[in-house]
Amino acid sequence: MYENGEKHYIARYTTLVMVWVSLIGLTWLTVKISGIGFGTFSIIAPFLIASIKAFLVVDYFMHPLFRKEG
Amino acid sequence: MSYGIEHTAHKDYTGAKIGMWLFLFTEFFLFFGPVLLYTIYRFRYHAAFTASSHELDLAIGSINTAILLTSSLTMAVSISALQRDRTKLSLWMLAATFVLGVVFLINKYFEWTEKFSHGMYPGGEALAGGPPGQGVFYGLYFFLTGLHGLHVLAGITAIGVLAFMVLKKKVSAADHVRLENAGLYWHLVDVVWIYLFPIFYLVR
Amino acid sequence: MSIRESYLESGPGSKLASWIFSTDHKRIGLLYLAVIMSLFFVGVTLGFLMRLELITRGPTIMEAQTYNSLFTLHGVIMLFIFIIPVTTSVFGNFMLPIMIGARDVAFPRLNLLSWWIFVAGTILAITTLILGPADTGWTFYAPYSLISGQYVALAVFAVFVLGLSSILTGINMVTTVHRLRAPGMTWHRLPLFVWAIYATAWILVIATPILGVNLLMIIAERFFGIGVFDPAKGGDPILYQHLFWIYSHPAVYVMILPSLGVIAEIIPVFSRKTVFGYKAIAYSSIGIAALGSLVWGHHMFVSGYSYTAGVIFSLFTFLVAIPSAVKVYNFVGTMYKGSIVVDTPFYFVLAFIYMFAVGGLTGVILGALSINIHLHDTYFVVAHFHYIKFGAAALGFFAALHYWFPKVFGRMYNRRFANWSLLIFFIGFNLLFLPMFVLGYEGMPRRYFDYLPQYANLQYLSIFGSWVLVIGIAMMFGNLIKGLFRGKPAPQNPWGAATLEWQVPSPPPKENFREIPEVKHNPYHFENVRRELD
Repeated sequence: MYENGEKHYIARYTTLVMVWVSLIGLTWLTVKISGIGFGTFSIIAPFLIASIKAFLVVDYFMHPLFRKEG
Repeated sequence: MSYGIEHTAHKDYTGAKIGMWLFLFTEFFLFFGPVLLYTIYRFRYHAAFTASSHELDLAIGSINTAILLTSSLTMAVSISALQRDRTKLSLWMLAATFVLGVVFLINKYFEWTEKFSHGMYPGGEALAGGPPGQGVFYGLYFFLTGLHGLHVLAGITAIGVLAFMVLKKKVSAADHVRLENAGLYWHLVDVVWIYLFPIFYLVR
Repeated sequence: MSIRESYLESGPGSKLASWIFSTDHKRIGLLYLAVIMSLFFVGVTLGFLMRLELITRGPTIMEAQTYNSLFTLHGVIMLFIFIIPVTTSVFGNFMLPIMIGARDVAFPRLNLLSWWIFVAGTILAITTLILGPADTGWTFYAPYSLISGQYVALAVFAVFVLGLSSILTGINMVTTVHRLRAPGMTWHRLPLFVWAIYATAWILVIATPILGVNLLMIIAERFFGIGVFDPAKGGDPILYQHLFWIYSHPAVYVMILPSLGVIAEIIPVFSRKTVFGYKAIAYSSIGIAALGSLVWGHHMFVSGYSYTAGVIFSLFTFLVAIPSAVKVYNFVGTMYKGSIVVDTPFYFVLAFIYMFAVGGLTGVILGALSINIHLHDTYFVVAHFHYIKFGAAALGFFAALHYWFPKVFGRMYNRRFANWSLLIFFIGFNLLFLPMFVLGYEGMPRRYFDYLPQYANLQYLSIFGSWVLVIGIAMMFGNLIKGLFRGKPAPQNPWGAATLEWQVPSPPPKENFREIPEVKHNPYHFENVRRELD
């Protein structure tokens, strides 16, 4: 779609699916490694992975929705 | 008859986005409060939190996580499709998102009732005798997943309404900011769960 | 229906419906005014009754339980229904769009929804008054709020609903300022009132949700016993206080920033001189909002948290006084070598500066750790916050009423009478609250239904002051209401101000502007404007 002569960004289906695959994979990973770690620091790895997942959702699913006028 | 000012039909796409972003910002702070409490209590009651976390159904939790992630995908595809004027695909994807959301809530229902039947709820007999950390864990668990569940319900409703509007062509390739805003909301609900999942189900 | 018609005119059909379903920001501002002022008088009455109860020791006109409910409801009404929303929802709504050269706010229908939600919250709060008002204090501290037999959950839910209204208004205002400024209206040409509302709106967006969830947890505790704040279940009531004040401290800046904005509008007009240090005043609003988010622990110095935390909170409390002081210096700097026009709004400004100084400085005193141990939960605190919230913030709202009245209603009120009412109000206010600093210093605790004999004399003085105050308020509002119905038609720009709202008729037409103006200079440029009042 064009607006004022500029083409604006529409997320590509393949990108979206690849992000989804990563998200599922990271979920599997976070469950697998949740046993590892020591005491109170066992939160760190799952939290980091959660943040990566959140970042993926924000950057690939939400960010394209903040493109300019259209 | 409109009682307001008769505006020229000037739609501010960017303004609508800013408004939605601000609203999401408030939702972040809404969940931030109890998550902050969780963090503090986890340090205080580490052993009880770990034990209680083992009692949650990891299988349902993981499946629900996958369900919400998938629903985010279908939502994103739905929007992408509508932007390309592929209305039919968009509607199917919206329907899929809706169904996935409903399944999430149904799973939650089974998960919760399972706990209730064993007296594992605030005020229930099984918790009454347990250590204080266990009670706090379950209190936070039910409160946060309950609050999240209400947001899922609101999101499902919004998706239903949007699907109807797409059908009626009120939301289309030419004017779809409302679908995008609903998508933003749905992704936020997903992100919240991305954090809730490890903090409740994966405390080891 | 010509767009030149004033917004006060309704077309055919139900007049009531045309108001309560209106998406016109000017009408919505007045809808808020109507609801808020009605509840304000209820709140004043509650305060008056509290004072009356204290005229003798022991029960006078009520029992202790009733007294507890009275101060709770007084707080809930005065804070959540009056001072937090009033200037933002009345004058922010009415004036901000016009001041930036817009026809309305960014989301007019959301604006109407905000008002309806506000009405719902108000009704819920009043319902508790009838059913069994909470007796926990407006702060709803756990653990008492978890076990009190009164309708605490309903009261707390009312505040939640009111908070939702605030959040939506905040979203609307931020977006409006970003998106709807007229051509040429750069950020540094915005009137200072707009800067103030903008900073306030950010606080509403960020802080209110935290209060909201905290209140939801109180409800969940009461109904389901989730145990997060209940010590018997392993919870920690101090965590409630933390979450509560993380919102409620920034909330006090929500209360004062708009009033500081009003004062910043009035002073240059009545000094016929551009404001001194525009950027300093504008950015100090942001600075207050930011720093003010870091001081919440000063409400909890004696709660038992770490000494280190106390020192940090105390330090930030002192620091936040700096941008506040910057404003006062700049206000005075604006007046210096200006050509002062002494008229009603200007008297309000003078009273405000005094009140803000007393309230602010006593706040700094309370911010000192060692002194706070002695003064916490005494009448000193009560005096401090009444000076800043009633004496300054509410007075700023009254000032706005007297400044913008001709624009909003197209009529003038009796200025001489208004000046006298302000004087009576001022005298009554100081008689009522100044003795409380002494009472607090001498050890009288707040929220107490009874007191020791040594406090009697100052209590009598304070109670007498409350009567004078009430007379002043009655005079002030009686005068304004009379002006509403019988006032002389007001000129377009009675005070000779340069901001955009004075370049449209009094009262403004429905669409605000014939054409959206193009802004060419700063808002306090008085070359081309003249005072149009005698």
